[in-house]
Amino acid sequence: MYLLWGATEKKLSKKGDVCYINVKIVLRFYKEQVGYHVSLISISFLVFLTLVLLGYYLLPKRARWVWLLAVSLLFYGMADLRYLVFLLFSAGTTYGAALLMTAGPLGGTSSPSKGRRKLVLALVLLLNLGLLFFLKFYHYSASILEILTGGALVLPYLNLIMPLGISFYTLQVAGYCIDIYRGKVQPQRNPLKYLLFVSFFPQIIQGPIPRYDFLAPQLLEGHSYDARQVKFGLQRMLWGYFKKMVIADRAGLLVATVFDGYAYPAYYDGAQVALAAVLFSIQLYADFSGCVDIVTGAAQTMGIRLPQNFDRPYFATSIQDFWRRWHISLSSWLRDYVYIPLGGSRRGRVRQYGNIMVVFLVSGLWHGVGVTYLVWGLLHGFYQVVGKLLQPVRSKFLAWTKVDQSTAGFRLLQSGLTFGFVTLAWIFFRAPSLGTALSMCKRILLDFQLSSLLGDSLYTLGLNEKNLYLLFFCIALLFLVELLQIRIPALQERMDRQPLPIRWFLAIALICAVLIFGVYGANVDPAAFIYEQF
Amino acid sequence: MKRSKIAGFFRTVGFLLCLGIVLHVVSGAVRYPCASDTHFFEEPEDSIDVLFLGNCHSYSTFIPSLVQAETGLTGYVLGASTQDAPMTYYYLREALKHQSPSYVVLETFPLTIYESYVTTESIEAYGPLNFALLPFNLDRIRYAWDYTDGDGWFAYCLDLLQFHDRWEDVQSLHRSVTSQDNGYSIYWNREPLSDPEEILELVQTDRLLALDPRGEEYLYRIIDLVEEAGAQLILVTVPYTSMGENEAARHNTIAQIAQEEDIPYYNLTEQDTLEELQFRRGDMIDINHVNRSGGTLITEFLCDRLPEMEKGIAVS
Repeated sequence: MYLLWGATEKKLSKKGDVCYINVKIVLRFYKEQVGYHVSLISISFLVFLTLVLLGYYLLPKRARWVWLLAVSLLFYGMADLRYLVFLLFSAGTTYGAALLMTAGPLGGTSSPSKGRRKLVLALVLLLNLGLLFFLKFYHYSASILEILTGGALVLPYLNLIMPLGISFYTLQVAGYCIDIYRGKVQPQRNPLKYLLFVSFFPQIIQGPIPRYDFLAPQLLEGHSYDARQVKFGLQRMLWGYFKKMVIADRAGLLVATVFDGYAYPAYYDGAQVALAAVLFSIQLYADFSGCVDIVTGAAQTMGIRLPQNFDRPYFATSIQDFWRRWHISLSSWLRDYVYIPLGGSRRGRVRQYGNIMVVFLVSGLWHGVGVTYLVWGLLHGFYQVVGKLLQPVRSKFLAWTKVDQSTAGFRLLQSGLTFGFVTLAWIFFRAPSLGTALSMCKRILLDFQLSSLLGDSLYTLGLNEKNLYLLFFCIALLFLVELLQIRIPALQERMDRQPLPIRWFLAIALICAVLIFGVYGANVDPAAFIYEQF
Repeated sequence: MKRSKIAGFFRTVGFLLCLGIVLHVVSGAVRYPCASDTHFFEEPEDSIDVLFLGNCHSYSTFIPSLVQAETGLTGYVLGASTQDAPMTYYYLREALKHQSPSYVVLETFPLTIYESYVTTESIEAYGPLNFALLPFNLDRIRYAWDYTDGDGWFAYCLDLLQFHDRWEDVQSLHRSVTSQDNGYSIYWNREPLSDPEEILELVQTDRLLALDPRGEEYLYRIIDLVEEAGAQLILVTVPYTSMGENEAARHNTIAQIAQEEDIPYYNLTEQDTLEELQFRRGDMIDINHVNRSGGTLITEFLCDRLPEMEKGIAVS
């Protein structure tokens, strides 16, 4: 009688109300679902993806992109219908700008002048990046202004919303316009096809940030069903869930205890703070790369490849190397659209160092609101500049000491140092304020008591003994797998050639690990992906 | 190509089958102990004549063995700690799939639990545990949806998802839930200064106060469900001394609904009834639950009235 969700009014189960209830339920479901962000770590997402896949492979190839567009808009619009307005604004302005930059006067076939193209590009970038900047920084700037003027200048409070993924898709469309301006790609004349490029559902919220010439042809192609791709995609998603739910969210419990409770009420010594900082490095990596694995795996089930976003970053042997491996789609975007246009390394060393600092300043601004993100970005720029300045000294020193740089031990030392510097910067990224971050760094240096990591006090940091050891075991497993990926190229394909019982055992073991050891469920607030907030 | 697709299909089915078996085994291992304490679903089909529903107030009070001795009717108390009205309704739905009781006795505390001495924190802590009494089926999914308003509902559907974090203490038996203890274990809030021979005095009022919407909605659902099952619903409110005037007023509302729906209602918190029963303070094990002597008094009171009902008595 009460069908799936039951009725809310009393005695609705009386005969004759069934049709009424049906309509009511549908309306209620719609009402509940609009405003409901389909989290990537939810059953809803898996059900959604299953339906998308069914539709995708059952429809004729030429109609598949339309289906993808429809489900992408549904996916995004379900979070908040107003988000769609922002998305359509970005897509609409950049679509129009691309056409204006390539169409001649009055729509003729001759190319528009360079001045006009430059003007259009400047306008469209100003509109889109300006909107992003405004939404991110209006209230923060207003509060700073109020403080600086002693309350004399108070900007009005605006009920702004921050559309999900706007930081990601704004860079995506900006990159498209710049590529059009440079003549690197041809504009998409079909607005719906272009809208699909902007809104493609697995990656719209947290990237990776794809280039038009890489992604759009794949989206429009209409791939044939390939069981191997579907299997590989699902495996990658499973690995992503393991990283996020078992490692990142478990590490997050300890990290939150120390970082959020640092100022008050507890006292954590330097060793405990250092442990929390190291675990935050792991958490952030497992969280973001786990998300990317889920997103990439979901796209792969449809035969669509997304750009690689991580390449085992904590195996990096220098900060420069780290940025070639971490959030690759953003790093390459900043390189191609900020660093190189500024002159890159072509205009002398001083200018190059300045450009590096600018790039990391932009990166810090892009990541979040607050001085801590700025400091984080500048710190990475500083690392790189100092690294370049010291390069000759370092080379001379290594030559003098005759250190064999090809040994595993030397690489391990380099990776360890790089990890240390990156972790130090992550403290600023995670800390609630600049003062707290500085205090934490100071405590690591001046009050480091190793004994606090050996006694029972270790288990008072948000994780009990069993959970802590489980976390360490899973982290070791994560890095072991990454090491294997380095040693054995195409590890997934190699695994696929193993006997069936081994493959099934591994898959079932991983599923069970996620379901049993994952941090989720009743009385647990599902942790949002960290990069989702950016 | 066709053969490889068929092979792929069977491989997928085989994999899902293996996965299902493993998950079933793992699910059983992490299942919350209170679920395995309840043997309701092990009772033979159609073997229960009187089904008692409610939370700790019901399983502290009703004594099925006494019912059987007095009337020849078999009985079972299907209840769990902090059980609220929706949970009672879904327990009943599940019970009616296996049993065809002649009488369904509903102790009304679940209808007013949200306005009683039971804290919201306690309800939120114990409520999810009581899902474990329900097997996985469409009703459990419905209840999970109702319980969560659709937010995170799936976690309540399967024992593995709900109790997965018990891996830490899966070897030790949690007995924090008093489900099915029948109330003779340690309770709380004793009244050391009360005279055990004194007739219990409870707050009285003529006032009417509406039930909370959820309690009222599910009361009507229970009424409909019992009617559809062809059983006789009996409402009973058993004494508890922490009862406030508002709760007494809500009992009057329950009486009114019972009258409108032509359902017998025994409000044992009314002073006249308490005096008729000679119900003493010493019949309470604490301020909220009756003890064995209190349970005997109330169960006998009920047994005396069961044959008066219109429905026939099932022969066990």
